Amino acid sequence: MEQQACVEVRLLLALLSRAQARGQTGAGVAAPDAQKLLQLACWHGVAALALRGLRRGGLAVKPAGDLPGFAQRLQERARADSFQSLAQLAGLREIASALKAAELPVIAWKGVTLAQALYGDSSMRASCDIDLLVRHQDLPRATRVLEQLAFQPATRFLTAAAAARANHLNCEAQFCRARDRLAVELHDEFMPRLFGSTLAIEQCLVRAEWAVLGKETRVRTLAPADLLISLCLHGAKHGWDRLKWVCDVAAFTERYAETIDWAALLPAARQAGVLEPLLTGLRLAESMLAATLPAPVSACTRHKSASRRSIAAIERRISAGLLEERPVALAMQDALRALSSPAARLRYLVRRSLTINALDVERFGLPARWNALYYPLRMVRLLRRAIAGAD
Amino acid sequence: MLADSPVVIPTHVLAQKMDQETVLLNAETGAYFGLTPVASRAWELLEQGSAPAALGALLASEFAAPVDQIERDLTPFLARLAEKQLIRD
Repeated sequence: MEQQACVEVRLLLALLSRAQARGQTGAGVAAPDAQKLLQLACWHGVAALALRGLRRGGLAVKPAGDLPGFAQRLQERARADSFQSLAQLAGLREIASALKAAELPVIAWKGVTLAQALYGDSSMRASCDIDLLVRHQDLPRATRVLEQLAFQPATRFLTAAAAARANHLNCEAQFCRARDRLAVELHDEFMPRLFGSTLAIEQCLVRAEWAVLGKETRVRTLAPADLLISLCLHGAKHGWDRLKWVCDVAAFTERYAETIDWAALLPAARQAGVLEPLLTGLRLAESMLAATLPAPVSACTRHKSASRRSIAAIERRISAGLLEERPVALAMQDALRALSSPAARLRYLVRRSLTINALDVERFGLPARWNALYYPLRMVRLLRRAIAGAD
Repeated sequence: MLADSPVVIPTHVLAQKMDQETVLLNAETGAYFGLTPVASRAWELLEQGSAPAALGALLASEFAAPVDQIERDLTPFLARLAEKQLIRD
């Protein structure tokens, strides 16, 4: 990282860095705030990975101050994450069996199967829910299967119409089960519809591989190339504001670098319009965590200057050590950066302006026959917001 | 007297090694358990098919402790695992 990060971020990066895993030494760091360091590890979802870094060889950079109780508190957090991942593993086994019985093909995405594949340990990656990829046409049936397992739709919207609109636009439906507080998300696309289509889930199902979840259950997971692209798309969707996503890409390069046909992947990613987020994710892993990139990626000069700007902006934000979500304006900037061409950015802006979202539905609550009125009302709402912003 | 045939770990029991500890989940009851480093090693040996009667000597050599003391600790430990439906004979 070029810019000077806050002490705690530098220390956290040192714990997570691939250079640390290779036993290299970094520059000196002084007087870290252990509480802040712990908060950062939790916020970024990397408590278990940071603990592993600490256990493996201490810090690549030596703190001048002491870190009283830091390791113990990190361990407590990692233990809590571990309980959560065990519950998710049990839940995924149960859901996978039910979906198999219903002959519904799904892919387990991120979560415990990813942790198992990348880190060899399902507790290494904090995850708040179980993510499943399903074909769009299978969503209603998959929903019924989840409801039979006592999962209920979870939404922050007050009306069912607004919730349905949000699910459709975000390409995800959220569910929660009261008895064990397990959360599940069904996705029928990797990115919200505003971004246009990316990887087709139908094709991913054809290429999918199997992961074993115990003696009796197995579940489909993404093929490695699809997995990498999906991780980079997911990181881009969230502006890479959690280090766990960068860690995933770094771990992927270590685990799968030899098995991926990079020379074929890069043109395919370009054709699918996902090269920009792919390169950003890989270059972030190199820049922040000293991941070793395969030669074809290092040699690829496409989007280099755009990536550099994106990476610098992401690093600045992470370096500041903030513990809060991005503001909407920044999220939109990040979304535009993640798109590969001016035409794609223009399409995104037009879609964003014209698409009726869940907030419009909730705010205006029109009967179905007056749906067309949402468009002028949305224009008025956006105009008023722009004028208020200009003031 | 410790049993000299391996125990059965039911499929509803999930274990996760974490550093030197192990966390267990009984997915049927929703109860979690944390095991200390020595108990973790005992669990690992049980998972690998070691009979309870064989654990004493194995753990005694690994942790440099007297066999009889280890076996005294193993008896209530295994009883508790069985009571929580984490193992069965």
